[in-house]
Amino acid sequence: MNNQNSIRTVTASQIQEWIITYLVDELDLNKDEIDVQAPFTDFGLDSSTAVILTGDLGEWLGYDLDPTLLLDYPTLETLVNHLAIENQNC
Amino acid sequence: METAKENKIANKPNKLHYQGASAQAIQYHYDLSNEFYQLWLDTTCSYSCALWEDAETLEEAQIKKLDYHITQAGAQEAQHVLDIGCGWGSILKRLVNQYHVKQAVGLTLSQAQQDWIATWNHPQIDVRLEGWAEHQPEIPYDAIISIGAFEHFANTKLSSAEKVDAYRNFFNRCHEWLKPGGRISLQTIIYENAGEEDVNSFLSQEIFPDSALPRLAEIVQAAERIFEIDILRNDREYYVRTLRAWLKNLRANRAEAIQLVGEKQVAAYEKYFGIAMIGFHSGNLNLSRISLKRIDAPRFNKH
Ligand SMILES: C[S@@+](CC[C@H](N)C(=O)[O-])C[C@H]1O[C@@H](n2cnc3c(N)ncnc32)[C@H](O)[C@@H]1O
Repeated sequence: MNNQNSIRTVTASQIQEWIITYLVDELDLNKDEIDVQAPFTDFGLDSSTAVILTGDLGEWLGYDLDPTLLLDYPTLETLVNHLAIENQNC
Repeated sequence: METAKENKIANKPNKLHYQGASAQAIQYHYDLSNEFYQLWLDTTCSYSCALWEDAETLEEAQIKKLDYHITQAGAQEAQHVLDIGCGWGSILKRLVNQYHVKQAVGLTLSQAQQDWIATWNHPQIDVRLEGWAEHQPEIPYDAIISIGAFEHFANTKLSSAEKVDAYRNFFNRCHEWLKPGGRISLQTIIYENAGEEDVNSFLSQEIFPDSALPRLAEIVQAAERIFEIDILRNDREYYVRTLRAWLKNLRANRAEAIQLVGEKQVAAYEKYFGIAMIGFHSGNLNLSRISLKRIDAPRFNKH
């Protein structure tokens, strides 16, 4: 974990917004193409992108995220739920 | 061909066309900087998957791994043990210091690793800058250990049949070098739910160039009828955990790491650890530990 002071407190919808923006930019998708219940792999997300996404998202949140996170939470909905709960407990 | 008379290995022509990763490709990775590797490896400097059973720290888990292989190879208190792909010498040291082995021989293709081990000036450790295909021991070994090196024994240009041949050459050599009843303890990453075509190109080009991973079936086929497989265990989740520990250590020492190898390399290693974690966690890759026992009288011409 990084410096405690730099942890960002966020809501589920802020996290969702951040990830959607990221996917739109990185994978060249349309915002309305993104189904929160579809597996990330459906968007063409590979392991390199997953590593960079978790790295950048962790930087934004202010604490390190595990690179395997998207395997355990393979849809936007499950991932956002998980992160929102984790963020509340920070 | 099996004429290892008494204690001497038969002298025979040694012209093998080695088909693994070149010394240059190995040095590209392992000669980056000893100090850099030290920053995030444990104190034994083990650079391979640990064994986390009943272990809390990376160091404990690496020692469990070393002990597991030493036991599986039956190398305790042996006269003469070979470590193929010895890295920074973690097994060599443990063999002579904790397990009363008389002579431990280590092979590596990395100059930096050889230099590192040579500074110990340990009379019972013989480290050589030499690939297994060039190795010509004068007396047979009691046991052979190889951890995290088999990944490099086939280059990316080989077909599956050619890979099996390349691995067969390896097992034939081990067979010649071992005393009757001798064992190999082998650890390697394998393709599980993936093939060469699925491999992340960043890993295969920028991190481990020139190396194609084995499939379990290729290893089994290559060893068939000269070695008996005694125990096989697959431990991919332990590699996720090992990589997580390395990543944590690297991040904790980021500033120093950047000073040693530069920002770009540090970012590349962070990315490599993350991609490999995903590979093992998803089951695309696996980590096999294979204990093999020499078949002393193969019932056919093994070549
Ligand atoms: C990932 S490191 C593992 C080192 C060590 N066994 C450990 O677990 O810490 C791989 C090692 O294999 C060695 N290697 C690669 N190809 C080899 C070959 N053909 N013959 C001998 N060693 C080789 C490298 O030089 C390096 O020392």
